[in-house]
Amino acid sequence: MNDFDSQSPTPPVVELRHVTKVFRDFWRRPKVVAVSDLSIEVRRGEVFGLLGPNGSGKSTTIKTILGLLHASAGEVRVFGRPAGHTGTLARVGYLPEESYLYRYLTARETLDFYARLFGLDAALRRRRTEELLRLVGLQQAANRPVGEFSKGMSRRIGLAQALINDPDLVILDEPTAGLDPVGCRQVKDLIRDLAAQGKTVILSSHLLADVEHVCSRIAILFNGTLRAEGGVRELLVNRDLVRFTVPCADPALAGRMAAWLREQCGSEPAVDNPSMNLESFFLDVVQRAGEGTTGAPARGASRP
Amino acid sequence: MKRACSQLFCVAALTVRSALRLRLFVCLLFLLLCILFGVPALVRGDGTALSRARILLSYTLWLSSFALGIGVLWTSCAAVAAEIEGRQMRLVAVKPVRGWTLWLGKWLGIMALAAVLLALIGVVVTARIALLLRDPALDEADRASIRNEILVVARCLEPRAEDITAELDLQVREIVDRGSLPDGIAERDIRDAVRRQVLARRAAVAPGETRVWVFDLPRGASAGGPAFLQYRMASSRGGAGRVAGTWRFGKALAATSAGLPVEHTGMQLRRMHIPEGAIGAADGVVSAAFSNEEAPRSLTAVFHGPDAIELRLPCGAFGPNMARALLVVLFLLGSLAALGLTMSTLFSFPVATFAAFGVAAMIALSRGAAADPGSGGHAHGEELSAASNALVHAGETLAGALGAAARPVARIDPLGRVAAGVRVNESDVAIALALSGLAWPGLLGAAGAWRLARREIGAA
Amino acid sequence: MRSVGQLVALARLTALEAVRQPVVLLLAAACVVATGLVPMLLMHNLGEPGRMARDGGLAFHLTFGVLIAGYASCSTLARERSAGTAATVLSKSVSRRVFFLAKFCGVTVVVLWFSLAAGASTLLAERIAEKFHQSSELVGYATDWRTARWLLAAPAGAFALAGALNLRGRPFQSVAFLLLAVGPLAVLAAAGCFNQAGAWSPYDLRVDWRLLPATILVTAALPCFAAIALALSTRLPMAPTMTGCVLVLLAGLLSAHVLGPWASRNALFAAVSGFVPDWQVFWRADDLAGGGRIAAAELLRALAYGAAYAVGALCVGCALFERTEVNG
Repeated sequence: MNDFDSQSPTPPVVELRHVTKVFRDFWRRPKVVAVSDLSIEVRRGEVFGLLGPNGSGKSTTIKTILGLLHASAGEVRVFGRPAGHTGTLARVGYLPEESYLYRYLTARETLDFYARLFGLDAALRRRRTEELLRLVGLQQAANRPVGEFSKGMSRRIGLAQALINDPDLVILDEPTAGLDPVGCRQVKDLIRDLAAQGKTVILSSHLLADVEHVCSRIAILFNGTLRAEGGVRELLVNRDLVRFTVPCADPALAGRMAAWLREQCGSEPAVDNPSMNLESFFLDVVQRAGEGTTGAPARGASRP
Repeated sequence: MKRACSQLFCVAALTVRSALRLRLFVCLLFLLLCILFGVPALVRGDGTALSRARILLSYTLWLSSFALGIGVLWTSCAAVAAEIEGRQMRLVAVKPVRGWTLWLGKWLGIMALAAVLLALIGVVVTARIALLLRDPALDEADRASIRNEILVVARCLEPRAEDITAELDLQVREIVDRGSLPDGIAERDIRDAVRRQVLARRAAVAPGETRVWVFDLPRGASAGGPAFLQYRMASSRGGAGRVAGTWRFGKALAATSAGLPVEHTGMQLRRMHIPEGAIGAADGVVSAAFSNEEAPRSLTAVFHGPDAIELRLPCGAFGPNMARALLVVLFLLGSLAALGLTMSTLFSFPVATFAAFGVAAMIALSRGAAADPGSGGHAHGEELSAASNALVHAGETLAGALGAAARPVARIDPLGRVAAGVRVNESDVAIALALSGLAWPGLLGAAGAWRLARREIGAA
Repeated sequence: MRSVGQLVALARLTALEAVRQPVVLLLAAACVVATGLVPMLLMHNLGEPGRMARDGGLAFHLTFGVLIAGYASCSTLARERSAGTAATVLSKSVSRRVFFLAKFCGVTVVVLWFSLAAGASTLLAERIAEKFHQSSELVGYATDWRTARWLLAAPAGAFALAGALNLRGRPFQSVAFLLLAVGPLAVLAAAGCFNQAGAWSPYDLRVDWRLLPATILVTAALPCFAAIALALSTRLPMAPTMTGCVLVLLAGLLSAHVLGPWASRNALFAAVSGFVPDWQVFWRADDLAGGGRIAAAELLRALAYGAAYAVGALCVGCALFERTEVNG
């Protein structure tokens, strides 16, 4: 996770100022206010999370940033230019909430097509295509039509096309939707890698764990309005509590330390064994299975 | 620039690929093959080899081109609208691709498909005529008639327009001076009616009379084969009467020059070969004279319609003429594709299809309105209310404007010319390219690209 | 009993889905306007007063009806199959047969409603056409301009009213489609209040009722065509289905001319001739020439042919749909 300095002097990559998006009916009457007076700045190297329940305006905000929708009021700038500018789009990668791909193209043809739209030369196109197919684990299915893909595979090829131009700004709308846990972890690792390379990532999700693991800063939307914004650590840290993690397996020693803390603090400290989360456990099992390790299935008592 | 070209090629290739893989191309190919092989099997004419060849060149070629036109219009209506509805356009629109690149790429892709299918139509029709010539069941006379009447290409020359101004002025003056006209009739209308009357009178050759037509040969024109006169003659009793007379050709139309006697009943298109020596006069003029015999053996001859008589100078070969005609058709298809594509940037696929077919039908129907602007007006014009009159006037104005826009290319009538053995000139191809292949698609493309750049793709 | 309820619910949904397509509304409105304009704009009468309007109206009815039936049939099943909504419905306790038949019923309701608009417009167009009248109140040639204006105002009124209702939240397309038939029917009813010269008179509705059987026959062709289109769309995507529909239509129009002479001599040709729908059965407009009528027996025979053909096409469609893979 990147450390984020909110006072960074670098110019914002994405800047929304008092953006409102109203969908209207035929008679121009407001039908839905999808986004209302939203002001956000995303700076270089940030992994910015857009959080919110369904219908909160996350996808509309993203489409407005990309120029797919036009703001009813306010201003949207990407790399200092108005949203949808052709020059800025060359530096942007986008994964929509569903992978809207040409069903009759194979995975390799799909990547080649989008690479051509970015004007990449033939050698670079081939190299990037093979790299990305490997990255998303679709080398075996490279020559199958995308229309035959499962949802997870479609998401993977969608992610690959978003990265085909080695973008400076990557916008991912629900990137882990439809992916298996291995895919989810790979996507999260990928996002971290992108951030480490200095790229900016905007991530929309309603899966809080995903966002918590990878985002440096988040904004929470509800009914189209911004309800909270800030660094993940800033927002989540509880400064009233302190946790120590000690490599100590001796129950007697733990009991003595607890007694000492009770005496010093005047209240009962919580003492337990830290547990691995389900995702890590699942990945560990799958990884060992993939390496060909045989043996009894992992059970609660024999957890590694 | 390089990137734009690469994007254009890429979008065009995608369009071709989608047509191939979504079986659209196969469906259209199947439909065309049904027409190309079905129509000659179904429509047999009078059963002669000549008639079979004519059907191939007229009905089959026209119907298959018409079906291709429908296919092109339909495909182009789907090209953008279906991608917006299917949301694939969202991924394309967020790439650095401009609206015009997308529009032009799609258009080029559709045109590539249309060119392939049109070439196939041309090859099949030509091959079938070639095979017909090799049919062992035909005798040499049948083959000769196909070669001389179907596989010919001729330049058409209309007779020099006669100056009727003096006669027209005289008659109009007489009518006006007589003062027997109802109020409210403009002199222009009188002049128009009298002009038609004078021309109708001049189309008739009474028994004992001789009528001369003068044809101006284009500079450097030389006949690539025996020249002939094509005319449409009827007797004053329509199909029933008999007309007998003599044709004379050349510069000297004296009675001593060798005449070609003819005798006709009924109104048909007729051909008269012109003797060698009558063509190629140094002054570039050819005259043709018809002398009607004295009554009662012959009735008055009427040279019917605007194309009553024309001189045909054979020039060039059938193949290149067919190729030029198909090129003109291809450029027309270019306009259709542009119309469909622009409609699909404005509307959803079914509505775009409706609108594009509606506009195409209006243009096709309005060709007649534009072709004869003088005949405008309404049968019940005087009975219409003001509102109905305004409606009719608006309709006629729109039809006239559409027809006028389409007329420069529509008058070329490439398939009609191929079927009639008339040369499609290089200048016709150039006009079709300039207007139908470039100007109209350019205008429509500008509108489509403008709309595509401003449309909220994400709202679909 | 539950199947009937399911059938009604699915048919209603199909009809609603079809009439909410803007193109269906556009086609229906174009048919009414074109039918109304024929007697106003065309001066030819095909040798008999009112014949141009009559034949034109019936031709528009058939052409636009085939387009609506074809489009609604092709899109409803093909779209549901590809979008996965068919899978959602079929995962409930709904049999494929009920689902397929409901699609047919829904499309049929739409084409019947359209036929009301087209049929009423044809009757009115025939009345509008210039004819020689000899009655106590009118002697001479007259065009019924009042009816013409009202008929052309009917679609505009339907659109305006649907727009006004849309302001109150009602869906525009479906309301306009419903009103599109109401308008010409209302004009037809009101046309009895005045004569062809436009003078108000005691109620006497003067239209050529001989047109009614011809209209009914054209209407009968439409469900028949819808059944064929639906049967094709059980296995084919939309574009090939449309192509197939065009071929079936052309084959049906040409079958009598092409196969007719051979059918009496060759069993194979006879079988093919019986298999291809004969659309000429439904086109009896020529029988009305010179004051003629369509005989009741002819009408019943043609309706029976249409019903038998539609049932046959539906049986084939049901059998095909039973084995069709539906994507979820």
